[in-house]
Amino acid sequence: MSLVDRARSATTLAGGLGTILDSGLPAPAPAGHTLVPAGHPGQPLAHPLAGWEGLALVRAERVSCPEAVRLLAAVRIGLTERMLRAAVEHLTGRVADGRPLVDHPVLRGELADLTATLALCWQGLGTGTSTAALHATLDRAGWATSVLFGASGYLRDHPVRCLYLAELVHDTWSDHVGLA
Amino acid sequence: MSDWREIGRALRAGALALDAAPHDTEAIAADEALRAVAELDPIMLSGKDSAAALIELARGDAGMVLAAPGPALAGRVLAQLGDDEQRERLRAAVAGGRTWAYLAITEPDVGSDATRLRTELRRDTDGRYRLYGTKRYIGNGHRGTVGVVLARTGPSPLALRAVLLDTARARTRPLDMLGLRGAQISELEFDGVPVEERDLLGAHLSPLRRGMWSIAQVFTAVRVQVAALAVGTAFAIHDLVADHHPSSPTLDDAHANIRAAEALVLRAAAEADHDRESAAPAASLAKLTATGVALDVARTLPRLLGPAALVTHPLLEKWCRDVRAFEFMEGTSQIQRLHAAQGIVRGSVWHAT
Ligand SMILES: Cc1cc2nc3c(=O)[nH]c(=O)nc-3n(C[C@H](O)[C@H](O)[C@H](O)COP(=O)(O)OP(=O)(O)OC[C@H]3O[C@@H](n4cnc5c(N)ncnc54)[C@H](O)[C@@H]3O)c2cc1C
Repeated sequence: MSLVDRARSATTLAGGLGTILDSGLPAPAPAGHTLVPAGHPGQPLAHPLAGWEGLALVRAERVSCPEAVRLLAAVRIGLTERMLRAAVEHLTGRVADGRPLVDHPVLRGELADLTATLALCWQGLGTGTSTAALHATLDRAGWATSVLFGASGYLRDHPVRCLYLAELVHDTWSDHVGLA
Repeated sequence: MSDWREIGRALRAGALALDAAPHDTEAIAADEALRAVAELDPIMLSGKDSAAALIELARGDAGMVLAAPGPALAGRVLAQLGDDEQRERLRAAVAGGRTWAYLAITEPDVGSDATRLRTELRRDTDGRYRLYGTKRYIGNGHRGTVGVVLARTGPSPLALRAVLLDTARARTRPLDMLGLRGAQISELEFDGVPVEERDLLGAHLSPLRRGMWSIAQVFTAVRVQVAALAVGTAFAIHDLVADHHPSSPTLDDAHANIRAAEALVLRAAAEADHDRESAAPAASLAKLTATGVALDVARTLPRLLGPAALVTHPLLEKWCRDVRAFEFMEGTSQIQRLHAAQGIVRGSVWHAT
């Protein structure tokens, strides 16, 4: 399995980041601190949420690594696909207006749109879509997926929180240049 | 207005501490800015004035606003459905910031479709009403000692009544949220809690107006208030980024969009003050747009501050979590779309003029 395939098939955010960093790439830290799997070398700094997903904020040498940021998109695609499958199960078990939520045409359309978006992102990883554009799309798709769980997905202990933490990892890994 | 802005600024000082420890009720009770928010009495103010005040307060911090003791959403229900004695009971219970009031509608298995609520108001063999069921995701449900609970009185989807509980207590537990943690959503369990005749809201109204019809009017009013919180949070994000970044087209566009959403919210609030029934689609459109604009602002503006902006500016990171809560409160965006579309099809939605 290629590295990008392995990144996509990670079942946890920390596992996905571990796959990237174990390949020998440095943890990107353009601002001098970065979110990494707990236990990764570096002086730990306080972060209110990192521990929720087995991550830690560490001080690190200022370094950029576009390839790691690209692979992070693969991790995010895989995690969002996983959460989307869980959302289908969730919507199958809830009823509104006399039928399961999963049978409401609006929600079916949403599931199809999200699946198409993720498929396009995955192809885009191979065809050179800019990493910034991929992550911007994944920010939106991740939140749209979380919303499918209703308020239950907004609870701290819900697995879909990994998609928000992935946004935070991207915030520390990416250079965010050219956006003003 | 500037008073509310001042209070909003003062609220910000306690925002991160509250996010870290939303269960610390002593700290909340000691916060002077929070006590000032408690004076925002939805029974006394028009919807438009409340919305304008909430925008300014949330520009300080929406989590703090929702942690403030006071009548909150229950006050809106009482304004619609309560008689004078019931309104006075709520006012007395929360006077001087003594406690929090909750409004309990959502249940573990029932959210968007309120006509399927399972919590039951049953008349037992002794002739007394008792409340059975579980409510979940209820803002201030654990801290609050007074509140309004929506319950079923019969099998028909519309057989719902709201009851005011100010002495009877449910078993409660707080739920840990991703964001807007100041609201401290909670679970409430009612296992035969006694309810007196005088606790039933709407007895002075015609049977048709006691239940779901009135609740729908309350939803319209409250949706606009949630939209106001979203607009205020968007302003807060904009203000913080603008403090650290020179003027740019992205910032200016965001500001213009937030102001446009603010205008829609205030307009919907004024419509709801004038005629709540016909304002429902406008309220839904206001909430839909305000939530969308706030999310967009949270997604784009922090990037202007460069790498790791959400680590360097913890308040910004907190607000990026907080804005997501507005998606769910008083109906998700899908539900707002359904309401708005109904108005469009009926021709009752105003168009841009
Ligand atoms: C911060 C916060 C504070 C809250 N405060 C309160 C409170 O004080 N009191 C209270 O009673 N509740 C409160 N809630 C709960 C809130 O009202 C519900 O979360 C909301 O009504 C949605 O219900 P649900 O979470 O069960 O989602 P569900 O209804 O299960 O929805 C799941 C998904 O299906 C979609 N969906 C549902 N029905 C349809 C449909 N007909 N067509 C298309 N899509 C549909 C939704 O958009 C969502 O994406 C709060 C929630 C939060 C997050």
